[in-house]
Amino acid sequence: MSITRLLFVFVFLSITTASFSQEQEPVTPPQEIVDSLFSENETKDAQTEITPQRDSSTIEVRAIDQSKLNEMREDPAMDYGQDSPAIISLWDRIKMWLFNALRWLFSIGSSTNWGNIVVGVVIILILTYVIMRLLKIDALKMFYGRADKVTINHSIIEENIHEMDFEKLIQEALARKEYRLAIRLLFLHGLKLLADRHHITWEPGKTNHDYLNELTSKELKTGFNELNFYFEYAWYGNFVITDELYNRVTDIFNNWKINIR
Amino acid sequence: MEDKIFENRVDLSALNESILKIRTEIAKVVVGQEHMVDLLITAILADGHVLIEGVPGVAKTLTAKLLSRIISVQFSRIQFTPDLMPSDVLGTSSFNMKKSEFEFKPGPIFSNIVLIDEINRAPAKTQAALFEVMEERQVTIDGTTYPFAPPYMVVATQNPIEHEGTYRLPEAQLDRFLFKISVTYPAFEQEIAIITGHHERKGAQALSEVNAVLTAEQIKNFRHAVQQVYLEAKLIHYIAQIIHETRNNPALFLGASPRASVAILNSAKAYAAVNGRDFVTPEDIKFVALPVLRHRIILSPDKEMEGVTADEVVKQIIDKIEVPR
Repeated sequence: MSITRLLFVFVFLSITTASFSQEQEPVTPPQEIVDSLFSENETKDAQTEITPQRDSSTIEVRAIDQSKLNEMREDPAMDYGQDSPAIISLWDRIKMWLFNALRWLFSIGSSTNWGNIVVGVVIILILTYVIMRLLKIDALKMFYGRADKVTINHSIIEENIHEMDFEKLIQEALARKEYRLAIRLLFLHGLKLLADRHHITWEPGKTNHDYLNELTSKELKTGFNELNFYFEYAWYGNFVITDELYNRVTDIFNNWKINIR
Repeated sequence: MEDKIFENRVDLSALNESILKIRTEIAKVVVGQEHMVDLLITAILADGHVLIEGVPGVAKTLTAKLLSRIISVQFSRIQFTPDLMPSDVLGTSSFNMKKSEFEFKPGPIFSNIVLIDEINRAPAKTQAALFEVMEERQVTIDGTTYPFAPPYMVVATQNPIEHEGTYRLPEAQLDRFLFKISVTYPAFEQEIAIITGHHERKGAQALSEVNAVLTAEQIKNFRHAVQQVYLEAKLIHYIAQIIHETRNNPALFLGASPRASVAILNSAKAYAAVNGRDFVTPEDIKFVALPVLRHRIILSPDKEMEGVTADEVVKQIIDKIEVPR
C-alpha cells in the first residue's frame, strides 16, 4: 500500500472517530435554565415526575349534510369508478388499422420461412416507394437512362421563319426606309433557305455561330459569315444602315443564295 | 474591310492591345486553357471575383498567381485551412502600449488581388468574413469601415466538393463570385506541350518570365469603356428569360438571383469588348451564362440522385430559349 493511500486511510479514520466521539458525549443543559422551567414549590419533584392534565374542553360534533352527500353521489363526475368514454381520433384509427394490418402480415410471415422473406420484401418495397415519392424520384428514369431532358413548358417563339413571306416583308421595310429591319429579314430568309435544304437544323436556341459551324460547304460558310457580320452590326449593334449599304448586303445575299442547293 | 464599314462608337483599341499582351504573357506559362483565360480577362473587365475549380494539379493556383503578375497591383495570398479564423483574414485590433490605444492591423484581405487557395477547406464561419469585402469592397471592424481602392478582385481556387476535407461554400458567398471556372485535364497534345516546356526550362521558374502588362489606372479606364458597350433591348429580355427559367425549372431547387442577371449583363458586355465589339450579341450572353450560373443554382434532390449536373441543366435551359433575332 502506498504512503498516500495510508495517509488517506489515517485521515479518514481520524475524522470518523472524532465525529463518533462528539455524538456520544451527553448534552447537559445549564442548571439555571432547568430551574427557570419549574415553579418554586415543585422544582425538585417536577424534575423526577410530570403528570399529564385532563383536557376538559367540549368537542362539537359536526355531521355531514346528507342531502349534499346524496347530491354528490348522484353526480356522474364524482363517480371515479366509471370508465371514461373512449374517444378514438382518426389518426388513432389509422394507427390501429396499420397495427392490425402489420400484425396480420407478421402472423403470416412468422408461420413459414418463405412468408418471412415475402414480408421483408414487401416492407422494403413499401419503404422504397414512400422515400422515392417523397423525393420525387422517377425510378424508371434511374434504371433506363438519364433523365437529363429538361422540358420547358412555355413557348417563347414569337416568329416562325417557315411561315413568313420574306419578299413582301422586305418590300414593306424598304418602303418605310427601315434598312436595319430589311437586313434582319434578309438574314432570316437565308436561315430559312438553309433549313429547307437541310444544311442546318433549325432550333430556336441556336446562335448564328452554331449554324455557321453546322455548314460544311465552304462557299456557303463564307457567304453566311459575311451576312452574319452585317446582320449582327445592324440588328444587335444598332448601327445606321444606309440604302447603299443595304444594296451591298443584298448583292452578297443574292450571290450566296445561288450556292444553296 | 469590316472595320471601315462599322467604326466602333466606344474606343476599344487600347483595351484590345492590352488583351493581346495578356494572352502572350499567359501563354508563356499556361498551355491551352484559352476558355479559362478568356473568362479571367472578362472577369477583370467586369469587376468580378472568380472561383476556379478543378482536380489537384491542373494549374488553378498557378493561373491565379499568373494573373497577379500580369497586373502590377498589390497581391496577397491566403491559404484557407480548417482552423482559419475570420480575424486571420480581415485583421485584428491590438493594444499599443506606447500610445495606450487599440491599433488595427490589417489582414491579408487588404490588397488588390487576393488569391484564396483551397477556399472550401475553411468552415462557413471563416467564409462569412468575406461577404462584405466581396460585395461592397470594404471591411467594417470595430465600427470602422475600411474601403478598398480599385481594382479589387478575389481569385479563389477549390477542389471539387466530393474531395476529402472540403466544405460546401455558403450560397450567399457563391453568389458573390462572378464566374465559376471549371478547369479540366489538358488534351493529349497539350500534355505533351506541358512536359516539353518543363523539360526545356530545366528547372527555371516559369513565372519569372512573366511581365506586368496592366496597371490599375488602365483597368479603371477599360472598365469605364466596357460600361459604354451597347446592349439591345431584346437581349435584356433574353437574359431575363434565362434567369427566369432557372427559377421555374423543375430540375432546380434554387434558381439564380437578380445578382446573376446583373452578372450576365456585365460579363457579356466585357466579353463583347474582349472580342473588339462595342455591342453585345446573343453569342456573348451564351458564352458567359454557364460560368455565371453553374454555381448559383441548386439541383433538386431527385436530379442530383440521377447524376445530372448543374452544367447540364444550365446548358439545356439556354439551348431551349429562343435566341432573339
